[in-house]
Amino acid sequence: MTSPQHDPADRNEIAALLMRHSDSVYGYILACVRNRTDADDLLQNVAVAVIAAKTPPTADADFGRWAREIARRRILEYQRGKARLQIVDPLLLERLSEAANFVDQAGQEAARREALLQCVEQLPPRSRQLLIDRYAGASEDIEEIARRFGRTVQGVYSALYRVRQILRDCVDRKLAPEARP
Amino acid sequence: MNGDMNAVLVAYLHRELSDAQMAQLEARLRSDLALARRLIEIASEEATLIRWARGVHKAQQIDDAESALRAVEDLQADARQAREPAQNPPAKIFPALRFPTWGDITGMGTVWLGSGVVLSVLAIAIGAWLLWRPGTLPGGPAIARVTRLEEATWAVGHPAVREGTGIPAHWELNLKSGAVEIAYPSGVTLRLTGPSRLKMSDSMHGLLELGQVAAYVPSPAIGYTIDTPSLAVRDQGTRFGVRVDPKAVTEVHVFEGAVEAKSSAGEGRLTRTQPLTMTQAARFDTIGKLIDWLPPDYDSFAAKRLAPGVVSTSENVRWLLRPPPSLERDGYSSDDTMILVLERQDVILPLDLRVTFKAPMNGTKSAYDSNTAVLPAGLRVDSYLLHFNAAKINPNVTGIGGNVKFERPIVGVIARGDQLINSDSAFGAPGVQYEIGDAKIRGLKKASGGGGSDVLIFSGRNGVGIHCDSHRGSVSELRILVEAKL
Repeated sequence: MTSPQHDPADRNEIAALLMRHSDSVYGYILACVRNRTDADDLLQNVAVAVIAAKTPPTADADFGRWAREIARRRILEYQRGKARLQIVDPLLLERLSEAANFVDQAGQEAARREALLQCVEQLPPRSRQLLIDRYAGASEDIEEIARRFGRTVQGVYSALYRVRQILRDCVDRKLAPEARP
Repeated sequence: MNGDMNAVLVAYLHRELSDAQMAQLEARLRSDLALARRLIEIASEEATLIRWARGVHKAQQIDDAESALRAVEDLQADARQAREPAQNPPAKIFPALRFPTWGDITGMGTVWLGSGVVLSVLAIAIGAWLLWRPGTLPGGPAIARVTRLEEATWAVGHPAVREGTGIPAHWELNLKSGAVEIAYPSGVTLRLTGPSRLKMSDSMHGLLELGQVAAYVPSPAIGYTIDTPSLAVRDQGTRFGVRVDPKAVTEVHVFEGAVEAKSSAGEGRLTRTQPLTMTQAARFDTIGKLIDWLPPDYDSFAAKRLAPGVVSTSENVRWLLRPPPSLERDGYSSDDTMILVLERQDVILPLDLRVTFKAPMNGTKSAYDSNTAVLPAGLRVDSYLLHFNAAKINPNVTGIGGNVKFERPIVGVIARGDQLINSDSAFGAPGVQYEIGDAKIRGLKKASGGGGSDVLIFSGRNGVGIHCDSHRGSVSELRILVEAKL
C-alpha cells in the first residue's frame, strides 16, 4: 500500500471531519446492519478508506454524504464476505442513504448530539448505569442486565423505554426555540 | 411520529422484532421517507449513546483494574519486603496503560501515515469506536476478542471478562477454571481451558505458561505461534493443542495439518526443530527436548478425528489425508517422511490370502522368508499402506522409522514385493499408480546383519513399528490389513 500524499494540514482537516461525522456515519451503518460488532468493523473500514482517499471533500456539507456512500459500498462488500451478516436489501440501503442526506441537510445533528449528552449526564445514577450496561456491552444481553438490576426482562425493557422518553423530552426542550440563547 | 413507533424503530435496530414485524417495517421504510429519516435520527442517537456508554464503561474498568493492580502490587511488595528487603521495586503484572497508535487501531501499521499529530487526531477521531468497544481490557487496543465463555472463573485480581471483551497485546489471561474462546481478526481462534495462564503477546504469538490451549489457524494466518517456557510451536496451517504442566513440561498435539516445535535456545544450547503432523503428539522436557511420543488427546482438546481408524503415528510416519496420484518409484519421494495412507475399506477376502506375517512380536528379522501366513477367505479388512521412497541418500541418515497405532487389531502385514504387487488390485486405492515393474524394488528389504528393514507388530496387535534403510531407487512399502469396523 502506498501513502496518500496529503499534507499534514489536509490530513488534520480530514481527521477532524471524520471525528465530527463519526456518530452520523456509525448511525447510518447501524441502521443498515443492526449489529454493533459489524458496525464497528465497517466504521473501521470506512475510516481507512477515508484517510486513504486521494481527494476527499473538505467541505463539511459534502463530507457526510461522501463518507456514507463509502459506507454503503463497504456494507455491500462486507455482507458478501460474511455469511452470518443478514443480507441488507440494496433498495433499503439507498432509501436509508437518502434519508440520512435529508437529516444531514437539516443541520441539527450536532446540536441534538450535544443536547443528548447533556441530558444523559442529568439522569439519576441508576438510569445512567442502565444505559451504560445496555450500550457498552457487546452481547446486548438483556437477561444479564435484568439479573444485575434484580428486575425482570420486561421490567428492563420498560425502564429503558422510560429513560429514552425522558432523554427525548429533555433533548426537545433544549432544542426548542425559546430555550436557545 | 408517536412514541410507540420510536420504540419499534429502537427494537428494529436491536434486532428485537420478529421476522414478520421486521419485514413489515422494512416494506414501510422503503416507501416512507419520513419514517426512514426517523430511523436514521434514532440510529444516530443510538450511536451517540454507544460512544458515550463505551467511554464511561471503559473508565470504570480502568478504575477497577487499577484498584486491583494496586491491591496485588501492595501484596507483592509486602511479600517481597518480607523476603528480600530493599531490593528491586515490584514488577507490574499489568502492562502500562498507553494511548494506541493508528497502526494499533487499523492493524495496518503506520506505513502510510507519517505525522505524529495526525496519528493522534485520527486515533481520537475513531478511537471512541475502535478502542472503547465493549469491555476492552486496559493496556491498549484489542488484538483479539473473547467470543465464548463456558463457566469461566478468573484468578484473583483479573478483571471481569465477557463475550465481546477485547484483549490488548501483552495481556495475561489468568483463567482459574472453565473455558474461554478467543478470536483474532486474522481468523485464528483459541480455546483456553482452565487452570491456564496465556499471555496474548501479539497478533501472531501467545505465550502459554500453564494449562492448555487448542488453536485453529486458517491459511492466511499460517505462522501463528504458541510459545511455551521451552518451545515455540509454529503453525503450518492447522488445528493443534498445547499443554504445559506445572513443571513446564510441554505437550504438543496435532489434529490437522502440521506444526514445527522449535526448542527455545537457552544459553549455550542449540535449537532443534521437530515437525509434527496430524495424528502425532509429543512431550518435550524443560529444555525443549522430545522425550515421548503420545496419542493425540482428541477428547480433552475437543478435536475431531480426521484419520479414519488411526489413533496415532510417530517419528517419520506421517498421515496423508489423500494418497498421492503416484506411488511408483520416484513418484512420491522424501528424505524424512514415510507416508501412511488409507487404501480400500471393508474388503471381504474372496480367497485365502498369503501375507508376510501376522503374529504379534514377529517381524521381518524372524518371519520374512519362512513364516508366511495365510488369512482365510471371508475376512473383512481395511487396508493401509506405509510408503517410503528416499529422494537422495543422506550419509548422516541411516534410515527412518516410526510407529502407527490403529483403533482395531492388525490381522496381517504384507511386506514382500511380489505379495504387494499381487494384492494391489484387491486393496490399492482407486486412481493411484503403484510400482509394478519389478518386485525387487518394492516392499521391505530383508533384515540381515546391520542392514535391511525391521517391522514389528506390537503385542497388543493394534500397532506396528517400522524402520527402513535409505536405499536410493527402492520403494519401501508395507501394506497393513486391519480388522474392518463391524
